Amino acid sequence: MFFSLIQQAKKLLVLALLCFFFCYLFLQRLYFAQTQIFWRFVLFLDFPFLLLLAVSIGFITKEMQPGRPQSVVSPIPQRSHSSQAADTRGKHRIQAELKRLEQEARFLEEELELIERMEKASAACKEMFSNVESRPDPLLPITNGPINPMWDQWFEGPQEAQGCKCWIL
Amino acid sequence: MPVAELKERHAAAIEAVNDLRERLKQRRQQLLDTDVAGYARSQGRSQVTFGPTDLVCCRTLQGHTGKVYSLDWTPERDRIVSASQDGRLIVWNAQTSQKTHAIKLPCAWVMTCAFSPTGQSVACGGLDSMCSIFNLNSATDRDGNLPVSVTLNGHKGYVSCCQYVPDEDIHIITSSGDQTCVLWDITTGLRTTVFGGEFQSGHTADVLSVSINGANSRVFVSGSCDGTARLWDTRVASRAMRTFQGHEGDVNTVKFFPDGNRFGTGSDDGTCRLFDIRNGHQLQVYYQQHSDKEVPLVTSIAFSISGRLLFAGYSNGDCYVWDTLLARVVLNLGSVQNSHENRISCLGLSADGSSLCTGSWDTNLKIWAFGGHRKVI
Repeated sequence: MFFSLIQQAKKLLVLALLCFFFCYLFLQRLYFAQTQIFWRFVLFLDFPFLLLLAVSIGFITKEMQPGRPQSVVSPIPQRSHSSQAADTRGKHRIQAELKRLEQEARFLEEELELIERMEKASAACKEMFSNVESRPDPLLPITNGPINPMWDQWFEGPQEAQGCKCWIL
Repeated sequence: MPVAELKERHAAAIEAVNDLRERLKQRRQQLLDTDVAGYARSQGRSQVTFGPTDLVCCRTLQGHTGKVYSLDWTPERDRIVSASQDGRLIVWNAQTSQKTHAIKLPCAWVMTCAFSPTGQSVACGGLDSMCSIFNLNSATDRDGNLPVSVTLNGHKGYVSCCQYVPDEDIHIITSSGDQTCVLWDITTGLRTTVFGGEFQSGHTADVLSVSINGANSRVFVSGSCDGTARLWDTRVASRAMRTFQGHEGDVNTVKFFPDGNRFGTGSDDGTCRLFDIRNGHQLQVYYQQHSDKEVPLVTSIAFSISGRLLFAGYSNGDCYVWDTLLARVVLNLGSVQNSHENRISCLGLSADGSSLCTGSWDTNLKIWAFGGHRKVI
C-alpha cells in the first residue's frame, strides 16, 4: 500500500511540473508580447527548461516501470512484502472460488443421480391439465362451477357512498 | 499450496462443473418427451377464445404523478397498494377507486411494495437498500405523513422485491441487488435467514424477484440477473433446493402457479417459461415472434386463479394474455380500448381471481374483469 502511495505521489509530481511549465510559458508569452522581444530569443530561454523537464519526467517514469526493481534503489523495504501480500490475497480468492466450484460439482452429481429416477415431462403435463381444468376461473368465458356471485361485483356499481368514481363498461 | 497449482485445480474444477452441467442438460432433454402445448394438441384441446368485450377495463385508478413500479392486493377485501416513482405509496379501495392512504416515503426511489396478509401494514423497498414497514392504523405525524413503524436494514444492495409470508404479518422475504434473498422477522427487525451471498451457494448476480408458494409457505422461488430461477426452502439457507436454467437473459419476474407445483418466469430474453418444481422440467416456453428485430422484455407476469391464463406485461406496452395449455396469445390488453398508454410494469390478480390489476409507466392503474357472457360446465 505504501508503495502505491509513492507511485501516486510521483504521478502528481509529474503533473505539477507540467502545469508549472505551461503556466510559465503563458506568462512568458504575455510578458514578451508586451515588451516586443524576438521569438527566437524566447525559444532560447525555453530550451534549458524543456531539457530539464524531459529528463525529470524520464527519470520518474523509469522508476514507475514494473519488473525492474534491480535497477532502482528502493527506499521502501516493505516493497517485497507488499507484493507477497498481493499474491496471498489472490490465493485466498482462488481457494474460495475453488471451494464453491467443488460444492457446485457435488450438487450437480446429486441432481444427476436424482434425474435417473425422474418421470418424463408428459406425466407432469397430464397432472397440470387435470389441475387447471378442474378449477373455477372467473376470467374465463367457459369455466367449471360453482360460480361465486361476487365475481361480477365490478359491474354492480359502488357499494359505498359518495364521491365514487366507478366506471361500468 | 502454490498459487500455480491452485489455478490448475481451479481450471479443472470449472471444466468438471461445465461437463456435469452439460450431462444434466442432455439427460433432462431426454426426459422432455413433450411440452404442455404438445400434450394439449395430442388431447385435442381448443384454445380459450375471448370476444371483443369480454375482458374489459372496469376501473382506472388515477392519482400517482410518476411511473407505477409495483402493486399488490390484500388477501381479503379489495384493496390495492401501489408504489410509484413519485415517491409515494397509495392504498386504494379498488371497488370505489378512492384512495385511503397516500404515504410519502423517506426515500423516493421505491421499487417494490407489498400488503400484509391482515391488511394492517404495507411494506416497500428500493434504492435505499432497506425495507420499510408502515402500519396503516397508526397516527400520522404533524406533517400529516404516516411514520415508518419498522425498518429492515441489512441488505448491501437495492431491495428489488418483497413479499409477506402468507397467513402472518410477522415474516417478510426480500430480494436484493446484493445477490441475496432474506427472510426477516418484523417484530425484531432482524434477519432470520440469508439465502445466498458470498458465504453460501446462491445467485451470482442481482436478484430481481421473489414469489412465495401459496400452497406451502416454506418454499419460495427467486429470479435473478444470472439468468436462473432458484427454489428455496426457508429452513435451509446453505443452498437452493433446485436451480432452473434456460433463460438467456435476466429473469425479471417469477410467480408461482396457483397449485404450487409449478412456477412461471419472465425474462429479458422476451420469453416466459413454466417450470415444474418437483422434477425441474421446463414444461413450456411462451414466446411470440416479432417482425422487427427488437425483442420486448417481459416485465411482469401473473396467473389466473386456475392457471389457464398467463398475463405477461412487456416493455413495448403489450400485455399478452397467454392460454397456458396451448401456448398461444389469446388477447393483448395493451391494444384494447381504454388501455394503458405506456409500458405495463406490474400485474396482480385479486384474491378471488375475479380481476386483474395492471400498473403502468403512464402513472395509472387499471382493473380488468370479465364482462361478457360466462358459460358454466
